[in-house]
Formats: sequence, structure tokens, C-alpha cells
Amino acid sequence: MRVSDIVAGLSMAILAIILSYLMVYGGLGPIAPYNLRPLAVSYLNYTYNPWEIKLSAMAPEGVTSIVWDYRGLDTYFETSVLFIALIGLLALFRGSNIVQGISNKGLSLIVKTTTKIVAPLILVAGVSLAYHGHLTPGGGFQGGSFMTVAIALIVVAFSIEFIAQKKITIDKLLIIRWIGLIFIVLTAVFLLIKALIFGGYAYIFQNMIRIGSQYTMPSWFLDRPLGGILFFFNVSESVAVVGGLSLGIVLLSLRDEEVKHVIGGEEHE
Amino acid sequence: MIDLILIVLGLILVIIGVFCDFVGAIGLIRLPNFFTRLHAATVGAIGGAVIPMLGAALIALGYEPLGETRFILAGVAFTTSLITMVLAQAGSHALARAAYRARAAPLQPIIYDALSEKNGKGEKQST
Repeated sequence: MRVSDIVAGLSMAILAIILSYLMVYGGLGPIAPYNLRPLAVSYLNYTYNPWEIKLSAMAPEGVTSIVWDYRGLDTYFETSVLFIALIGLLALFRGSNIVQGISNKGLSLIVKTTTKIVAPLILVAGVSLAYHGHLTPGGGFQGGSFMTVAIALIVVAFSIEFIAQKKITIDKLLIIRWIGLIFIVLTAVFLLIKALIFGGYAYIFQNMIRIGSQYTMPSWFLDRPLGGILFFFNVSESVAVVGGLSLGIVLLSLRDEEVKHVIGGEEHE
Repeated sequence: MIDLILIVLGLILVIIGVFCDFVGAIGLIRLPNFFTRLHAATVGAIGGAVIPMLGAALIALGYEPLGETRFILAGVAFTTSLITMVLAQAGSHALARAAYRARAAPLQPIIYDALSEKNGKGEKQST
């Protein structure tokens, strides 16, 4: 028992006591003034409201309704920022592919077996998080990031050449990402195209019946509320995020021999 | 009666978990080596996380006023304990293997190193 151990333990205890005292003594400050509260009240009243369907999003989950219905255009461009960054990464690593036979050992047998058990469970949990985003906390981006963890685990435990042996190439990941993005755009303009064909009028990012438009997205699946565009946006967003983030992980874990001809630059010394 | 038995069993498992956590915390401070300290941390992860989660599942099964919700709680706790039991050992094994192969941790209080014999080096590693 040295003096430094005693000092470390005592300092941790004093830090915990000071933090708890601050939380109790300081409190959280004043809540919002009266002229700001009607906004929150209207959100809480109209996210799932079958009696006022012209103002409602018809989904019980308030945060997802705000993210994909009340501010859908904002979220669309927020998503496109990530994919623009991925295009920059692709431009940096242009023309580099996974080469077989450098080193394909991976980690030991224990870690490989554990990964075989856990990776499908991670995939299923991510899918459930994405497809229940309109009923429970979660959503498309969160579920897609969850599924990407399984890909990262496989890349680390089985080495990157295992990914190439299973026919998962960089081009296929790009195609998956494109499918997700195309379905996001199609969901956003679906009712407008329908209105152009059948007459009448509709808006972009339109969910339920709105004032001046008689078209609507499906709001019920059997006996569960579906939330209209929320479900389709969550599904397509999760597909796009799985493709894009897996592409980033595969590109950043390439070995030296594969990216030497891209970032080498000896001939311009 | 069966509810009382379930709750008592769960509380016994939680007490075992508290003891294992205490032993792991002492071991992290007192043991002399990276690998032995890793063993103490794994005792804290298995005995101090898996067994109390099983106990929490039993307590949730035996607590009547929760109604139907208690089956959901028990199932989630049981599944989480199983997955933790698989994952914590694999993580510790990967850490120890990487530290040994990269020679990042000193093997100072050493009695016998079977891996160096198996790899044909034979001599003790110098720190």
C-alpha cells in the first residue's frame, strides 16, 4: 500500500462527493419561459392524433416524427453531408482494391468463434432498431450505425481478405449505398409524382392528408400505426448508412501494400 | 411462497456479485503484473456482472406487482448475462495475446513461460 494509491482513492472519492453536491446545490436553472411552451405542447399533441389527421404525423414516437416529418428537408441535407464526406474519402483512395495473399490470419480461434456468435445478433438488433423507429426510440441512422459495428468486428477478427473472399467488394458497397439514397429521394417525391399523374396537388415530404391535398401515405399496417413516410425513410436510411459506413471502414483498414500506388508519390520527389 | 424463494435466490446471487467486484477491485491495485491484473479485471466482469444479472432476472420473475412486464425484464437480463459471459472472456484473451506477442508488458515476476518453449526460443525474456 503505497502513498500514491491512497491519494488516488481519496481523490476519486472527493471528486464523486463534489459532483453530487454540485448537482444537488446548483440544480438545472429556470425552465423555458411561458411564450416558448406552446410549441412543445403542439408537438406533443399532434404527433399521434387520429382526430386531427391534417396536422398529425400518425406515429407515437415524437422525436422521429420531428426528424422526418416536421423538419424532413433539414434531415435530408444533414444526411447528405455524411455521404459527401464519403465521396471525398473515395476520391482519396481511388483505384485501390483488396489484394489477396498479404496476410490473412486474423485473430485467434477464440475471438473468431465469439465473433461468429455475436455478429448475427448485432445485425438483428440493428434491423429491429431501424424498422421500429416509428414506434420505439431509435431510427434509421441509429440502426444503420448499429449494423455497421458487426462489419467492423468481422474486419478486425477475420482480416480484410475474408471480406473479399465473401464477395463483398468496394463496388458492391457503393451500389448498396446508392440504392438507399435513391429510395430516400423516391420517398420524398412519391406523392408529388402521384399527383402529377392522377391530377390534384401534393407537396414534397408529405406524410398524411394536408390542407389542399387529398393524397396520403399508408398510416396503418394491419393493427399497428405505420407513420407513413417515417417507416420508408427509416428503412432506406438504414440501408444507405450500412453501405456508406462499411465502405469507410473497409477503405480506412486497407494495408500499406494496397494503397502504396495511390498515396506513394515517389516519382514526384 | 415460490416468489419469496425466487427473490431470496436472486439476492444471494447479487451478494456474490458484490463480493466478486470487491475482490476484483483489490486485485487491480495489489497484483504485480499486467496479466494478473487482467485476470482480476475479468473476475470483476464475470463474477461481478454476469451473476448479478442472473440474480436480477430471478428478482424480476418473483416480483408480483410488475404484472406481465416482469417476463420482459427477466428475458432481457438473462440474454444480456449470456452475451456478456461469452464476450468478456474473448476480450480479455485478445488483450493478453496482443500484449504477449508485441512484448508490450513486462513479464517480470515470472515462474514458467510455456509459450516461449513452444515457440522454440527457450530463454527467459528480458524486460
